[in-house]
Amino acid sequence: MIRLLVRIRIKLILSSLFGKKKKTGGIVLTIFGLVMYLLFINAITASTVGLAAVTLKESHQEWLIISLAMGVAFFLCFLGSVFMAQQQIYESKDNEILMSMPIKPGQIVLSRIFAIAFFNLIYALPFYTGTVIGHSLALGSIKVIPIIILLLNYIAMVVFVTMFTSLLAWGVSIILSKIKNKTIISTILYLIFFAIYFYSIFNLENVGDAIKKHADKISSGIMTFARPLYYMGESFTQQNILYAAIFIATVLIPAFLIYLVIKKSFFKILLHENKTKKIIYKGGDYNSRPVFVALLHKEVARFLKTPMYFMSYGTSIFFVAMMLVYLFLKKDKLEDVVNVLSVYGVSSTKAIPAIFSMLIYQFVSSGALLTSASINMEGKNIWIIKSLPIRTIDILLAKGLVPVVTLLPVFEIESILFILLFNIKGAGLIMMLLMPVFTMIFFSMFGIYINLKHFKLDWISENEAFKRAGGPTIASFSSFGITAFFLILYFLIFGSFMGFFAYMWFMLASLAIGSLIIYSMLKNNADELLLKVN
Amino acid sequence: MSVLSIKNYSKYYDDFKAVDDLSLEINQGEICAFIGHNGAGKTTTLKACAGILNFGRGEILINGMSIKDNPLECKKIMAYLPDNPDLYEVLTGIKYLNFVSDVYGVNSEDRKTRIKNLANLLGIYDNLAQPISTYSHGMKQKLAIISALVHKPKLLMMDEPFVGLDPTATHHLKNFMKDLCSEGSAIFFSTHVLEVAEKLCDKVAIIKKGKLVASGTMEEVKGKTSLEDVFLELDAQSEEVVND
Repeated sequence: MIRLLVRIRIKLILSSLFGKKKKTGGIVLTIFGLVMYLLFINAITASTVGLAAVTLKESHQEWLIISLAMGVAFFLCFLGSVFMAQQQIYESKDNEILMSMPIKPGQIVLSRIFAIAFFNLIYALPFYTGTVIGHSLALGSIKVIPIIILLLNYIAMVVFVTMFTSLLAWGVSIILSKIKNKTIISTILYLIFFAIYFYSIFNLENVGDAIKKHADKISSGIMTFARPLYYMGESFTQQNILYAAIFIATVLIPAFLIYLVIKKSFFKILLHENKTKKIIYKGGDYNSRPVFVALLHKEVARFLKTPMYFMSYGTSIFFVAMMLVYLFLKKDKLEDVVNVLSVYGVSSTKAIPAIFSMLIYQFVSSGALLTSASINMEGKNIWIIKSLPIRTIDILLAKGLVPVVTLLPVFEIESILFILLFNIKGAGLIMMLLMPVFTMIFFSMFGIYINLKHFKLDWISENEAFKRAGGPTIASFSSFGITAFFLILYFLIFGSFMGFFAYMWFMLASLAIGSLIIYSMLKNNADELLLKVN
Repeated sequence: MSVLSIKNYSKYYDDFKAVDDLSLEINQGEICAFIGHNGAGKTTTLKACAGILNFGRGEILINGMSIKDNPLECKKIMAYLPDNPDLYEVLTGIKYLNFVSDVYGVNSEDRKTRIKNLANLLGIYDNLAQPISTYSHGMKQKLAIISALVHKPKLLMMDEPFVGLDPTATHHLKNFMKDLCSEGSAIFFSTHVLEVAEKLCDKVAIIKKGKLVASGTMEEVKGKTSLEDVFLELDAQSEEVVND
């Protein structure tokens, strides 16, 4: 039974990536994106492990870099899957139907956890392969036994992190089951996790130095407070099977206990009735609105009232705010960067707005791509907009305007704060005000177009509509591609005769022209494209 | 005058012929029941008439206008209710009704009167301030019915509208249907409840494996027998053909 449930779960998640009809282009693009991601993380891990391994081997602390590499994998898997675990385990739409069948709750829970673990295994794989490769390149080839030991450790770690995130998901579900306004609380919890993540990222440059300078302290800390990580690292470097067994037992026993806790409370959480007061309708609120405004209201309501949808795209406004605070606090470092750039003829008055514009572009584009899931989010409601007398282009424009009305004002305020804090004037000021607008409009419409071509309406959990569906995935990777294209174009062609600041104006113009092109494509093909969405 | 005119409509899903050369006409003031087995092609036909499906072959005219060429104008005068109306769960009942009313251009006074009347009769008036996510299936069905009737459509198309409704709501829905037709509209709906179809409908169309096997007025089709007998007889005839 568990095997069947796991297979169904994995099939559902995979079909959400590739869509109902297997479109070759979408599949190729998704696989390409996945491979690129795996290679990228692999390369980063291999180089970090390789560099550190040589230094640490001299002080007989080779195990430390192995432990830390796996620790980072644990940390990122944890961050990446805690909300997915909450959605998959507690908010999946097939929970009710499975509960009504003679299936033990433990089996339902286990099947969900196995499916999440399957994807965590893939996500953490480049850390494992990068560690092996980096270590081999630095210290010579590794024998089979340590590779197998590390593999078993890696699998055990993934199982543990999956269980740990499931435990947190359990905690999040209990909190959410008792509150009315889930969006705000979910957003706050999500932001806490990502504040920690961002803090780590911003201080990553210091990690390598910290390891070298404080290897002894870090080692002693791990051996005192996280001894299983020491056993895991040493089991690889010393080919010590006993240490491997200790590590595996240390993570799998708590994992099993966590499973027992979750299994016991699964039905209780699902069946919990939110004791919110029923509001009796007393009339009123019959105000009529123009069709487009009504459409826009509906779209905005969906975005703001769907916690995971909002968190997946809306939190970019908070990241910009965090970045603003960080850059303001590290103003002296920024001045160092500007001084370096001035050697290459980039003046400080232009460098800062250009750099900020590029950074804002990144965040705005990721927020704008909420539209790449906007068709998916219709789900089984698609019949409503298709059967109502609404112009298709109006439907699409309403979807396209959601990030413009919800996120763009905040991005603009943040741009204004940048301008004030860093005393930007003249052309730089105008660039910083225009960049969010043009970026938002372009990527918003781009997202809609991609979603019309790659849609997924038969999702069980809302998460699938925007986290693992083909449309948002393709849009996300395409946006990286567009960014890379702009940068490559600058470094290979335009950089030889144009400064970066001037090139940003070229980017702005390209985004404007691109927006017009996509709008035209949508307008001319809207009816035909929407009819095919079913 | 013909409100719905289906002429030689065929629809393929890849190689599968879901609807095969179907022709049907429904005039003003008529209620037509659409009967058939599961998978016979009823939903496909209704969806095609509602303009929410990639059009196949043939022609479908709503009050003389082609649904394929003029979908917007056709949709302004009709309403479609699917068999399992999934509604926007983030909205409250009244917000959903206001949304639909805005789309159909129903002014504040008219929507207030109609929503109040319909919601009270169907027993969900008090629940209109609640999010649709808290509604039961029956309540969602009732809300969907109100949304379909709020603009007094010229053509109302429903896919198994009586499923999930309590007896009181069923009674009211039948009255709504009669009232709508008495004002010059037409109704085309699919159902498995043959007794209701017999008592309520002026016309009936029976579809089997995508083909129309019987159609006409209720008297023409059932004669002195019951609709159930006719349906079973047609079914048996097909079985004989298969066995031969």
